[in-house]
Amino acid sequence: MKRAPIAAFLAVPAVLLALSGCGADAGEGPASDSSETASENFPVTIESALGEAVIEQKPERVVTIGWGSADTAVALGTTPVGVEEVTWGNDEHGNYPWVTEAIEERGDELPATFTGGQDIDIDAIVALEPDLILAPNSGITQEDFDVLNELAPTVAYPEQAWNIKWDDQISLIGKALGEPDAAKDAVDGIGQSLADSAAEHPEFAGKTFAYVWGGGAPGSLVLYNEGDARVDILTALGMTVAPEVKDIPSSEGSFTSDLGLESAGKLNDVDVLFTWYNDEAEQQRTEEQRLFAQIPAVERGSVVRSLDRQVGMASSFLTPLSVPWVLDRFEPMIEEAVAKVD
Amino acid sequence: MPRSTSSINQRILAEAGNPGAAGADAPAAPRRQLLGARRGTVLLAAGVGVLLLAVVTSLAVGAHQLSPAEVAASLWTEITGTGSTYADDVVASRVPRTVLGLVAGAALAVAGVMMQGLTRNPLADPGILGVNAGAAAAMVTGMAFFGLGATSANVWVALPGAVLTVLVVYALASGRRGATPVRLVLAGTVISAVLMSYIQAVALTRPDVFTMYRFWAVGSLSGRTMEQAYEVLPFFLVGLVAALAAGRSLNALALGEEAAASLGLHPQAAKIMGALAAALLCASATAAVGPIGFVGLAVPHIVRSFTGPDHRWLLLISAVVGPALLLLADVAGRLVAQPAELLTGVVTALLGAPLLILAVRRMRAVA
Repeated sequence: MKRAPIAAFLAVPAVLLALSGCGADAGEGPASDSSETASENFPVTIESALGEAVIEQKPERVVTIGWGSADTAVALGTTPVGVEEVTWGNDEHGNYPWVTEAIEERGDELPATFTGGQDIDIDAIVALEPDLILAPNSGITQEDFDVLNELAPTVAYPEQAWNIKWDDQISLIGKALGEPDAAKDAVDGIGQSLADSAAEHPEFAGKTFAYVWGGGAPGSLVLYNEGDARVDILTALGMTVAPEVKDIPSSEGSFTSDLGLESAGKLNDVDVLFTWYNDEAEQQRTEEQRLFAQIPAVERGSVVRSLDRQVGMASSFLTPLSVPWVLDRFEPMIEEAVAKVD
Repeated sequence: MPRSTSSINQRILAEAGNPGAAGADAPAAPRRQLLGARRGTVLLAAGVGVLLLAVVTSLAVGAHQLSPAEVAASLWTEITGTGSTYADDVVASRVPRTVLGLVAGAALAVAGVMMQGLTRNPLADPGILGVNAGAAAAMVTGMAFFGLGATSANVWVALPGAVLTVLVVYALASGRRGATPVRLVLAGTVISAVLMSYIQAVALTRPDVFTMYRFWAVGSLSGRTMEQAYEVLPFFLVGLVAALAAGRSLNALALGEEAAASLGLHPQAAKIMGALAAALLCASATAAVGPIGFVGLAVPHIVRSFTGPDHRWLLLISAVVGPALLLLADVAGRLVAQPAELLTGVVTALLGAPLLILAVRRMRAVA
């Protein structure tokens, strides 16, 4: 009777951990005359780990499940009719603020939200009458997929749940929406804005970092590795994954590894430590652990803590909407931490 | 376990005040005979030896390799409060987990003996009277509705939850004819199931509660602080003293309630007192380190295979073997999955299972 709830509880953090991104660039915008050219791009077939989606024509009623797909759809010119309700880092519309802002700017109606997670509200999706379901960065099961794909062509993850590179996700969504060029522009645009930020902050260059989360098991840290969007965004800003950290292999099927605090010595040479917390209580119980507190970066205060869930989420995503939204807020935090390195 | 008339007689004799005569001069006697004082003392000394070894291992061994001299030096700087190298911090971080291992290990093992004795069910463990579920339900209620954090004042919430649950289980199990072992186990199982559903319902509908509960519900000695040990210590000590004092009552209850009553015991009162002591112990352990399985189940069996059924020795020796097992499990967890750590609760199950099988086989061989 102890095991069942614990197993259930482990599932949600797994979801929280597996963040990655999607998107196109808000600044770049979708190609304005894309609708004519778009029709040439159909029909299109997209393979995924759970089966293939055959999209006959340009979709109009798009539903998104999981992370970042709503961002990218909006950025590529299609406002979804329904999105999985965001319950972490959400605004009052059950969505991410940067997505809501982009839709409002465009003057479109905000999408309906439906309950997602492990118990997706299929009835609500049926009622939305979708002609495309985007879930390339999600945890949908084979069972979910089979039901959804009957309803409308469904794009799932290429190999593993919650595991897709941010640029692949954008390309995939571009293909499904018949906007491959706009998707490519969006990926390039993200690269460009990150490169611009890096150029504005020469002091970031070459600073080593590790990105950890300590709210899971007591005495342990989750370590995000290369390939995870939140690490990718920092390397794109010119920083480097600390060498000792880089050598720790990722756990099977994820971009993370576990680090017992007894091995906190591996973080000794890290210039800046990045971390996020669900709340202050989590911060307190993580940071009161002596082996965490003695990490040199923590001792000298060169730590970037995302306690603001929206910033935490946006810096875990690389999407055309999240990147510009978060850079303004994230850069000053990094500046402050980097200033304490020496 | 079946008990022969002769062993009952011997036990009654032993209760009458001559425990030394039963086994000291009869080392080859069958195990169901009561343990003699000399042999018991030897076993206890051996148990304490293993425990000391486990304590030293727990302080000295882990993912970060240190020589014994370095460990000693680090402990000294910790005591004197001078300097702080990384090695010092590593050793210092092992102090609370060692202390918590001592407390939780003893609490779980002794509570396991109490539960098995009271319910006369060899499969009983601290979970069986709903103690863990009660403590967890109280924690979740506190987190969801009273703004309780996951680190502070656990024991003040977990404890009433555990004790209340035991009382409810006991009340449910006591019909007109009193609580039988089977009824106790059934009531405990039912109440646990109800409480676990409640926990799941609250935790899944409230993500914030969920993350706190999850952190707390990971049975682990690491990442905890000395404050958590201090907090539970008074409750643990009261429970331990009450439990150790209950050895005679448990021996008498093992004969059946009528025999126990004929020895001048109030069976119902003894049972309630015993269950409360066990609840106090489990709740202390659970509040301090989260639910850790198998120690409460396996340790009494392992110890019983050496001591036989005399609850006085069983309780005492379990109180030293329990922490030894828990500490060694914790050390193993630090070593096997580097640089990650295995949770203590996971290791206790892995380590406890073969030991339990061994103990059961031994028991059968001498029965």
